Amino acid sequence: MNIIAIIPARMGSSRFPGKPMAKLLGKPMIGHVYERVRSSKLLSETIVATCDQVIFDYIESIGGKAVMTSDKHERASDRCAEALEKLEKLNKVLYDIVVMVQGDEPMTHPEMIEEAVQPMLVNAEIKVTNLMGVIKSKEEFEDRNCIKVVCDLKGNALYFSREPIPTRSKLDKVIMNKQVCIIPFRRDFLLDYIKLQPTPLEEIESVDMMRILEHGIKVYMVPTSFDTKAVDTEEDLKEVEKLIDNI
Amino acid sequence: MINGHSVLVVIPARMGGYRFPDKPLRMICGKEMLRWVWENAIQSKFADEVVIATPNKEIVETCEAFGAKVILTSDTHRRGTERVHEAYKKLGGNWKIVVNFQGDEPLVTGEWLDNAIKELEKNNHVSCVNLYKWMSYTESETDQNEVKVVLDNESNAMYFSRNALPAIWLGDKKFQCRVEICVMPMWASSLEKFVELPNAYYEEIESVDMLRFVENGLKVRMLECTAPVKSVDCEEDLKQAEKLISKILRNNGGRLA
Repeated sequence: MNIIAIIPARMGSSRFPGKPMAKLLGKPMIGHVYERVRSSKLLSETIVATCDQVIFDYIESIGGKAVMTSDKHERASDRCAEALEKLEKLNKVLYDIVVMVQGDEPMTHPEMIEEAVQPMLVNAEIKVTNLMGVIKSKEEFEDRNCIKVVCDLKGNALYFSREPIPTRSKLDKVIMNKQVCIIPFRRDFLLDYIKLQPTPLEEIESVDMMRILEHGIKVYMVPTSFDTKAVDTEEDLKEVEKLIDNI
Repeated sequence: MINGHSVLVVIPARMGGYRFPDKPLRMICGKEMLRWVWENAIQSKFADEVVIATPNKEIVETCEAFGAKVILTSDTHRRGTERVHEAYKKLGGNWKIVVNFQGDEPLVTGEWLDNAIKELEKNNHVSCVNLYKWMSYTESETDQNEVKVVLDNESNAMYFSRNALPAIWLGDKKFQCRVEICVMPMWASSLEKFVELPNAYYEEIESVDMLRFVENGLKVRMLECTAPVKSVDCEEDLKQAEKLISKILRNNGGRLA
């Protein structure tokens, strides 16, 4: 199995401009993510896909690899697909699995890559997986930046929402799960996926994975044993700084 | 009968709901709510048999008095669909299609019941069909009695929730939510399957029967109902249902459909 990790990153984010280069314990956030992902033993290659020269230059300066992609992409998976095709041409190889890792998960542990990919190595039917974390506080459950997920009894996602689901009014003890954006795709499926028509719930919820579900394709959710915290705002960054410092 | 498939309609009803103990027998425009439901159901072109299934003597007596066939069922069922299954078994279990037509939907006509049955008959691969209607986001947000549903591209239910779904991420409150109407035709084989399966996780949390199918990977097809309907969960709903029914009766020469 030839497995590649691609980390899409861009400076222009409406909620937090310049986020990938924002410093976390003195080092740009994208640097933390890159180095953590790269140390996974499963990967034959780790690449940052970006439309910003500053990110490209920074990754090269730390001895990493980056690919310049178009600045027209609206979705991270489109950027990944472009980077994948460029790399395959350049390296004259076809990868089997592409792990998309969002640049805003600086607490990504290298073993999380293995957790996410593992089910695909044993089950050829699985086209795409996501990692899934446990939500521990009501604040996080109600935070619209946190994407909640409910699964069927086999572990496939039923629905992703920014609304707090499931409903907690009837029962007190309810498992609350969140999406963690480490997303391995089978290579061919990634290329099929970016050609699928956009769907209503994908747009309303602003959740990329919904396009797959609405087209009736399964997304397998893998529970992670690691704690993570995605960075969406400056406050998140400060919080993650504390969390990382404690490790 | 529809294309050779026999159809049984079961109306499950019970007294003693926590919020509204005597709900099924409350009067709307001079008739018990349950009678409205039964009279609508017997208008169906496809139903071969229509019965009311209940654990309560009082309901048995009232319904037999207005001419309905009633099956006395256990008082330990936790889901309406389980009560429907017991009635289906007691009646010999020889139907091809069984409809769970809930006793708190007094405005769903025989015609809409038939539309739901037709949708099931056309789709062998779905386990069950439900009707749905649209509701404003603001109303959906506050009313946890109403079950919201989100659909995939083929109109199969992805999830049912008491919270408002989908999330209005961009704050557009003009958006509407789909709300479940509890008229649920299913294949008899799906009904058998339903009672064989253990209670599912979110089925319990959301208190929604259909999630047992969905969580087990079985398809529930949703069909839009464009007629005005009102499910009754509280006193306020009852008033609204009465208003709607009297308006329809006035405009329709004393008939609901």
